[in-house]
Amino acid sequence: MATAPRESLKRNLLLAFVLACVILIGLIWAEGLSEAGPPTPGYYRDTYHVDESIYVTATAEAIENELRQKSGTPVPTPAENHGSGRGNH
Amino acid sequence: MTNQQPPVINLKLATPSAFQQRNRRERWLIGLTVALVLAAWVYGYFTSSTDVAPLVSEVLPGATRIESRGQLFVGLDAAGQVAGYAAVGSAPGYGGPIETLVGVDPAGQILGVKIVTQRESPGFFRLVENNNLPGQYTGRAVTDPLELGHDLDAVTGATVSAEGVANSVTAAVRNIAATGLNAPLPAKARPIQFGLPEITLLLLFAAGYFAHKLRNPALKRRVRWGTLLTGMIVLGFIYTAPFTITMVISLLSGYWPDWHNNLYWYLLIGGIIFVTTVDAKNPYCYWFCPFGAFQECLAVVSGAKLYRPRALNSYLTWIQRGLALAAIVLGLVLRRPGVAGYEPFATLFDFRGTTVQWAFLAIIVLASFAVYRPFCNYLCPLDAVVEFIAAGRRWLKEVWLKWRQRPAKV
Repeated sequence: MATAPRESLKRNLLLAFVLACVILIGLIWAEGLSEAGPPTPGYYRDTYHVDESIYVTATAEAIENELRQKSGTPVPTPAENHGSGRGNH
Repeated sequence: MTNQQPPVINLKLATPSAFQQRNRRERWLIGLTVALVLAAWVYGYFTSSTDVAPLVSEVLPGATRIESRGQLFVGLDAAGQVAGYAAVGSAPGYGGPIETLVGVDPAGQILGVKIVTQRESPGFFRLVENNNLPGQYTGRAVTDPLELGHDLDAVTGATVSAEGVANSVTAAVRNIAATGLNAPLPAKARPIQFGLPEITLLLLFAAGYFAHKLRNPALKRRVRWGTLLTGMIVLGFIYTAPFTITMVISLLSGYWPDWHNNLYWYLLIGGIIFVTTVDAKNPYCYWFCPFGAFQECLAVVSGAKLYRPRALNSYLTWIQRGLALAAIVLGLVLRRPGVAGYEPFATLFDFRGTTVQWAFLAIIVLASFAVYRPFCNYLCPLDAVVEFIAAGRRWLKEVWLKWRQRPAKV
């Protein structure tokens, strides 16, 4: 009678071993993939020189304004939009 | 009893036997596997190209303009004078071709070397990078020997990868010398490397082939222990050259190494495929797999026995097959065989690996004290590959026999 629980324990231990190994294999692959990276080698990105005389001009407000001009539909600015939710009451 | 027998017999005749059903399912799965592997191959083939043009300026520092002339890049300075030439060289590594971009000035001095693509195991290639092999070329002349262990530092533990880089650079240098500098370099002799690992491998194949026919079990056991220990020491700890899934993926990808200095690769893969196909026997795993031998030594110490409960047998088989298929598909899709390998062979035999790889090896070593060859029985992808070859062989043999026995047309 004692053999059944023992057999069950052995089986569970085996399953735990296989599961742990499968997880570790997944991690080994993930490690390899993260090191492999895209076909373009990493040094190409590292040596990319940023021209500091150029700075970002496209802010969120500028993009919104541009979209408003293109579509012709007036989009309320945050100031104009203030308290608009009350109109539903 | 007699009244009940006829329906049972009729039922048996009407439905295919379990054996036939298994055969049919096996063939479906073989077909499906081949289709999946082919799809992965095609996908990987058409998505693996690399544009080297953006990298040329890095190996030709004085050039302000780059022109492409056939396989050669010509760098021109601000005055329109030639600042240097660049070309891509390719040579086989451990996991596939290694491509390098080399820049040379008009006087024949190497300006820079960049590795464009490589398909090596990350652990092996890290050694090449740590050794700064590409950087060692800068300032050398194209007429220098450019040989590892001679005028370049050899890379211990990643010989095949380092040789791949060196041969790739040499190929690019020769191209530039011939087409850019108009000074072709004399051809180098390429001796065939045939030494202790190749001889040991052939002897182990022969010993396994003849020993499996022995009738005396005691003698057979002794010969087997001899081959196992030889495999573990020579092919494992001394040369770290076991059969790996990376080799299988390289074979399928068409990344076959130069046979002059990789005869071992051909003998090992060719020998396994040949014996499995012709003799329907696995000549490697049971007789001289270095990692299998190591686990078996641990089993002898602890008295571990094979454990494969019937209730889990099917699940365990499919997990092992699934891991093998996933590794092959991953390697083919990415065209990077070195990334797909997960066996702990290099960790054990070369004492090299990441934390995860060491943890994987530790679990297997611990399990080997409790169960007989746990890696081979539940996880090794090569078992599934050899089984696949054997199943394909059975199928082809059956088709061949049916074709031969077909009734002649009158």
